[in-house]
Amino acid sequence: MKKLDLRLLRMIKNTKGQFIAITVVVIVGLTIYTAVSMGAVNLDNTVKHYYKITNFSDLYVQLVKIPDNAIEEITNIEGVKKAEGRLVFDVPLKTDDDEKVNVRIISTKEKRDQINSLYLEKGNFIKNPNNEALMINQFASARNIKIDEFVRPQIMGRNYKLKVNGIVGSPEYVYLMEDEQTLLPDPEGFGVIFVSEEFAKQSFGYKGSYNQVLIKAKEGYDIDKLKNKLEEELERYGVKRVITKENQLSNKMVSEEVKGAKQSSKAIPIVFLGVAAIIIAVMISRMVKKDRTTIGVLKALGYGNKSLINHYMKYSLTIGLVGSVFGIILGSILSSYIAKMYIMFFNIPILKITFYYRYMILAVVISVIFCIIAGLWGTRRVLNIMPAESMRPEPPKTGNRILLDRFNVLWKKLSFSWKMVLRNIFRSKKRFIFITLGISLTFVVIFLPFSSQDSFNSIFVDHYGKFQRMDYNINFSKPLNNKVIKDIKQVTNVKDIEGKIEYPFEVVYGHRDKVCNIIGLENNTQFFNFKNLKDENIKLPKKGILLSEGLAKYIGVKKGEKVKIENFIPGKDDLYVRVEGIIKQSLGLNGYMNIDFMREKLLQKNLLTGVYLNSDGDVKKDLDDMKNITSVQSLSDMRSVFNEFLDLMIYSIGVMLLFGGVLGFAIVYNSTILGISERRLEFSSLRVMGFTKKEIFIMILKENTFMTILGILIGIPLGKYMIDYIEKVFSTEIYTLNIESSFKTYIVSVIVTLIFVFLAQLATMKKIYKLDFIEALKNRIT
Amino acid sequence: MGKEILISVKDISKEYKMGEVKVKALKNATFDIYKGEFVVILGPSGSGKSTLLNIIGGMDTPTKGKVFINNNEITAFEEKKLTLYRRNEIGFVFQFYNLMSNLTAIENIELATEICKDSLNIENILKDVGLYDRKAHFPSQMSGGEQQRVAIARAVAKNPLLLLCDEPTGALDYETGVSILSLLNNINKKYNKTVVIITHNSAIGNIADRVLHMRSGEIIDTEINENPTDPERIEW
Repeated sequence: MKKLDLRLLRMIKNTKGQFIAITVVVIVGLTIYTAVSMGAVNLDNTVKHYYKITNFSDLYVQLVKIPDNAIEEITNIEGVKKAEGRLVFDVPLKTDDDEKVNVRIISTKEKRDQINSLYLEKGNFIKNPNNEALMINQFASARNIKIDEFVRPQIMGRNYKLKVNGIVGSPEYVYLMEDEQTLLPDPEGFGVIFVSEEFAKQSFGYKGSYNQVLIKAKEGYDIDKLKNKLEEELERYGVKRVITKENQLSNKMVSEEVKGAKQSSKAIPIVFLGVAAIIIAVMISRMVKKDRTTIGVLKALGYGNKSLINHYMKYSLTIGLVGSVFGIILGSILSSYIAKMYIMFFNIPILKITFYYRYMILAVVISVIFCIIAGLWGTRRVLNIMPAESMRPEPPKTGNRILLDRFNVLWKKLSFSWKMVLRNIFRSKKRFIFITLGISLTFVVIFLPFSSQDSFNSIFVDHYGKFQRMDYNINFSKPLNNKVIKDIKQVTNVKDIEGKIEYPFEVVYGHRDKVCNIIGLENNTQFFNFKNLKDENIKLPKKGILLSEGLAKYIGVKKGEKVKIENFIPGKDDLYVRVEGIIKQSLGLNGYMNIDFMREKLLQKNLLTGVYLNSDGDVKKDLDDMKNITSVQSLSDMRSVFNEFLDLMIYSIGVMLLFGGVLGFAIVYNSTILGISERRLEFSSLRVMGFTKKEIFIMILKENTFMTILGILIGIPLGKYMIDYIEKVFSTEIYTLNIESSFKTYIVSVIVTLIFVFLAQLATMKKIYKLDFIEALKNRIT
Repeated sequence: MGKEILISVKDISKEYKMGEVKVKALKNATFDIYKGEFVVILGPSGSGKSTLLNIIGGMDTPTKGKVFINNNEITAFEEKKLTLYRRNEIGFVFQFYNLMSNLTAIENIELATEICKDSLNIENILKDVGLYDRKAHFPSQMSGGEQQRVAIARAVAKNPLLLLCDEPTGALDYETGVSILSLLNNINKKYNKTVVIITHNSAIGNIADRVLHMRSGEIIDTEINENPTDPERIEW
C-alpha cells in the first residue's frame, strides 16, 4: 500500500467518530433513495402489469338502464375498441356477527378476456351461477371469510345466501374505497362481491339490460374526447356519470402514491447528501488547514498538488463509497419492506419485488459526485500552500470587534465568559452559519412528521366532529318517502333526526366540471357546521348553493357567481344556481343546498336518500332488519379506522425522527470536534491559566446552546413555510390539507431537537477531557 | 582537487509579506557550492538563511536573481518541474523533524522513496543512522534525536544530489546534537553527498569545509576551513 494511503487510513481511524457520523448521513440519504425509488418503481410496474393482464377498463359509464343489444352498438362509436355491460349495485350485507355492512355487488362474465377480469387468488370461479359468488380479497381477510362459507346480501329487500367459491383481486379495487368521501380504506366496512350475470339480472330485476358499461378505448385515442362523445351518444339510456381511468378512485390513489414516492425519493436524499457534502467540505478544508505544515513537508519531499489533492479527496470518496455500499444494501432490504407496506395498503395479488441495478448504480454515482464536489471544495487550499511558507508559523489573525461590541450598553452587561462565547461564535462566521442552519434543518426534519400527524388529526377531527356532527349517517338503497323518518323513530331510540338528499351531479363552471355529491339539508340543520374561509359561521341559504373549498377551487368559481348543475336523472333539466358561499371542508368535495329547494329544482317532492341522526342506542342493531338501508356509518367506526391508520403512521414518524436525529447529531458532533481540534492551542492556554476542563466544556456548551437556540428560532418559521408548501402540493381533490400545527407539536419538536444536540455534545465531551494541554502547547509533530 | 560547481547562486533577492509587514529577506546573494562539499551557512535568526535554503531547495522562488544546479536554472522551472526537482534531487532535514505522526519510522522513509527514481536501500540507511531496531516505531514513541535520525534517513534514502538541513540540531540537546552532526558528516564522506547546514550556532561552523556568514539578508563573509574539526570534538 502506498504510504500516503496508509496515512489516510490511519487518519480515518483517528477520526472515526466524525467519519462514522458523516457516513451515516450518507447512508441514510442513499437508503431512502434506493428504498423509495425501488419501492415506487416496483409499485408502478406491478400495477401496470396487473392492469395489463386484467385488461383494466379505460372508461366507466354509469347509466340508468341500457339493453343488451345496445352494447354492441357502442362498439361502432369512433375510438371504442370494446364495450361490456355489467350490473353494479350497493347492497347491505349481514355478517355472521349480525352486523350490517355495505357491499358492492358486481356482475361478472368470468371470461378471461373480459374487461376488468378478476384475478383468482384462492378457490375457483363460479360453477353454479345461482348460489355462488366471488369475494374481494381484502374484505375476505378483514372479515375472516373463507372459501365455502356463506354470505348473506340483502337485494331488493330479499335475503340471499351465496357460497363464496373463490377469493379474487380486481384491478378496480387495488385501493379498496367505497367512494370519494372516504379518507381511508376500511376493508371491514366495505367489500365487493362478484356474482354471475344471470344471478344479478334476476335478483335486481334487470332482465336483458345493464346499468354500467366498461369501455376499452382504441390505443392512443383521446379518452377525454371519447368521454364527451359517450355522454352524448348514450344520453337516451340515462347516462349518470362517465369516469375515465385517470379519475377512477383506486387508480387515482395508487398513481398519487407512486407520484409522491417518486418525488420524495428525489428530494429527501438530496437534503441528506447536501448536508453530508457540506460537512465533508468543511471537515476537509479544516484538515488541510491543520495539515498546512505536513502538506509543506510532503511538497518538499516532492509530492505534487495532484497527488496531495487526491490524498484528501480519497477521504471524501471513501465516505461516499462506504456510504453508498451500506445505503444500497440497507435500501434494498428496506425496499422489500416498503413493498410489504404497499401490500398492506394496496390489494395487488401479484406484487413482485425486483431489485433495479439502475438505482443502485445511480446511488453510487450520485454519492460519488456529491463527495467529489465536497472534496474539491475542501482541498482547494492545498494549491496555495507554498512549502517554504508553510514551515513558518501563520501570522496571527486580525482580531476584530464583533458587531455586538458596538451595542455598548448591552455588551457591558454580559459576563466575561459570555463575552468570550459570543466572540468565539462570531469569529468564524462560516461555522456559525453552518451549525445554526444545520440545527434549523434538523428541527424542520423533526417538526414535519409531527405536523403531518397533526394534519391527519385535524382533517379527521375537523371533518368528523366539528363539521359533521351527527352520530350516524344512514343511506338508503333507493330514494324513500319522508315517512321513513317515522319508521326509524319507531325501531330505534332517536334523539335528533333529519332527512337528507345526497345525489351525484356534475357541477360546471366555464370549462371546468366535476362530478360530486350535492347534499340537501334541512333549513336549520344541526348536523353541519358551515364556516366560510374567514372562519365565520354561515347558514345554509334557502336558495342557491354552498360549495366546499376544494370544489370551488377545482372548478375555479367564486362566491356570487353562477354554476350549472347537470342533472343525470333522465327528463330533468340542468339548473343554474348562485354560489352563496364557499365553506371549509377538509375531506371530500361537496355542494350543499336547502333540501326543499333541491327537491323542487332537481328531484321530486318528499324524497329522501338517507338520514342523519343522534342516538344513545345501538342504532346498527336496531336498524338491522329495516329494508332499504345500505349503510349505517357511525362516527365511532370512523374513529377506529383512523386510529388504525395512526398506528401505521407511528412507524414512519419514528423513522423520520431518527433521520432528523442523525442529521442533527452529525452536524453538531462534527463541527464541535473540528472546533476543538482547531482551538487546541487556545484551550491549552486557558488550561495553563487555570481553567478547569469542565469550565472549557461549559464554554463550548454555551456556544453550541446559543447556536442551537438560534437555529431552532430560524427553524420554526422555516418549518411553517415547509408546511404551507406541503399543504399546497399535497392537497388533493379528495382532501384539503389545512394544517394547524399545535403548540404541543412545536414544543415536542424543540425538545427532541435539543435531545439530539445534547447527545452530540455529550459525545464530544470525551475529546475535551482527553486534551493534553502541555503536549498541545509544545508538540510540533505533524 | 578539481572543484566542480554543483550550485551557483547568482544575485538573488527575496521579499515577502508576512501579515501586514513587508520583509526583505535576501539582498543580492551570490555564491557557489561545490560537489561533495560540507557547507555551513551561519547567521542570527532573521538573517535570511532559511529563505536562501528554501530557494536552493526549490521550495520558494526568489523575487530577483537566478539559481543553477548542475547548470540547470531551477529559478526558471515551473511548478511541475520544481516538484520533480524536489522529489529526485533534494533531501530536506528540518529543525522540527516534520515526520508524519501516523506513519512508523520505516514508513516515513518509504513515503519519500516510493516516489523517486533511484533510491538507496532503506534497511542499510536505517542501520547507518542506528535505528534499524526501531524501524517499526511511531514518531511519538521516539526521542527528538531519534526522530531527527529518521528525518535524515528519509532525506538520504532518496539518494539526492544535495542534502539541505535547516537547523538540524536546533531542537536537540548538546549530546544528541553532536551525534546528529557526526551522522551528517559521515554521510557526507561515505556517500559523497553535498551537505548544506544552516544554523545560528557558530560552533558548528568548525566542522564545515566552508562557512558562509550571513547578516540581514546578505552574505558578509566566506571562510574556508583547511582542517575541519571532527564533530565529536566541538563544544557549545
